[in-house]
Amino acid sequence: MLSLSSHVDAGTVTVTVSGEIDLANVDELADEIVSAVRGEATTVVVDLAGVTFIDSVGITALLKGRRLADEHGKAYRATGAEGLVRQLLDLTGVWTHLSGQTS
Amino acid sequence: MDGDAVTTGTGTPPVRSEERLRQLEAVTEAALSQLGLEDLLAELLDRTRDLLHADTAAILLVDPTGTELVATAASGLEQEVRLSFRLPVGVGFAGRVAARAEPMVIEHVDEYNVRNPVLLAKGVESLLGVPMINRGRVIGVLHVGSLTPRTFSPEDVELLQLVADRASLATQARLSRLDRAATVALQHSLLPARPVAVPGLDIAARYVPGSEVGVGGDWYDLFALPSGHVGIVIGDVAGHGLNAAVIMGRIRSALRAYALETTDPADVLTRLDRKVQRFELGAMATVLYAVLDPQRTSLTISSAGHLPPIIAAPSQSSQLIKIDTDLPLGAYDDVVRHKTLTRLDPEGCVFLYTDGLVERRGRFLSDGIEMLLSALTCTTADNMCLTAMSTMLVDAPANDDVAILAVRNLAD
Repeated sequence: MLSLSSHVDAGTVTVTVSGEIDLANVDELADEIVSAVRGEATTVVVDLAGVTFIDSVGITALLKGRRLADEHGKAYRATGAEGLVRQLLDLTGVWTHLSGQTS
Repeated sequence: MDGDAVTTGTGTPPVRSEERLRQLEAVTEAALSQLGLEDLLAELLDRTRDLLHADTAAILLVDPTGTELVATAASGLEQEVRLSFRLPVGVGFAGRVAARAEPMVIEHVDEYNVRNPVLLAKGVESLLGVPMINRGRVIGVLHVGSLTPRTFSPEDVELLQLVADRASLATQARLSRLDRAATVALQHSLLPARPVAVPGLDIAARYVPGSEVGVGGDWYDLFALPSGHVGIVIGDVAGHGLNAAVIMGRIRSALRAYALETTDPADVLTRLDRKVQRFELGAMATVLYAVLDPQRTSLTISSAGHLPPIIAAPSQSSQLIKIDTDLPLGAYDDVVRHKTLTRLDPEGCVFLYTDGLVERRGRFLSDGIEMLLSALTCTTADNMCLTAMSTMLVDAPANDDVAILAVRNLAD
């Protein structure tokens, strides 16, 4: 089960993701991120604190979000990844990129 | 006159429901399930014509881009299929049925409301078209025509829609079957059960489709280079099915081409990334590329978002190779790629895998990797594959597809 919500506050849109991200629901996540990037807000934050499972399809969606944000000149960062989610993002070398700690 | 969305109508007398059901079953009886897609649709259209007393019937399917309809089967209008008539979604009669996703009737066909020259030349007077919908998506259009002016009744519309629903199911089932067969064939041709032998190395590999997703974009590769180096590859194209397998085939072959030009794995992956970004829009892949030197004493490894490989030597415990992992291919422009040099024992082993082997819901990735590390020992390549599969997949089958590649250095 995946649950998604977005709220905008002072130019920042936060996409709050919780549950398991897998092949069956990854399109919903991707759509939510695309809408957030295309919206009015200048900063997009993807909050992964409630995510309990992610695999390569979820990582791909997060990376594509970062790419799209750059194309739209928006700031983008993922936050809150913990436990096994954080572990996979670290081991595959994408966490620094997604959390905005690099260029 | 433009086509009208159907609301009411008069004409042929209402068909009784049992009668209609019997007729519908005549259209979709089990015997049809033995036919290939084109034959099935052609047979279905012949029966649809009888059922609705129509002079023509045709099916146009939405092409993979989703923007055009292609005439796929016809009855009384065979030329349309022979000419492989194509129509943009939204244009012409069938195009409008597809765009609106609802039934439409044209009582008087003319060159303004119909685009298809075959329909015009045939002298079709009236048309009824319904969308073929699968899982909320329009996959095609079924239309019937009359050579004399005709008013289609609501019962006609309803009946044709029922036929279209059956046709959608059959089409989708056959297309996915074709897709699956093509994907499996492609995967088999690209992933030989055993990579080409390289003197001095013992090599084994396995590929297992995922229980939920079937064949995907995982691959392995191993090849000797003219310089005496050996290239060792494992990778995973994001996505599943035929599309992922086709992209995998192209990435795999491009990597081989760049490997011939430089033995620096970071350089190979940089070039490959540039190619993916330019020519595989929207694709993303993780790849690990290791280059074994001609003396067979060291591995130079570069990783694009892939899980770290395992190294082992006889009577030593297996370990993850510490590497600087860079972003996956296709993730970002101009990524600076790193490489890591690791010594390989004269009798040492290296084991590469995709995430499907170690990742499970509700389990830490490190726990999966730990299980694998404690089970794996540096023995024959076949044994390593067998151990990895039986340890990781027997009790917990992978949802995702899995590729593994084991290589053992044979001291001379």
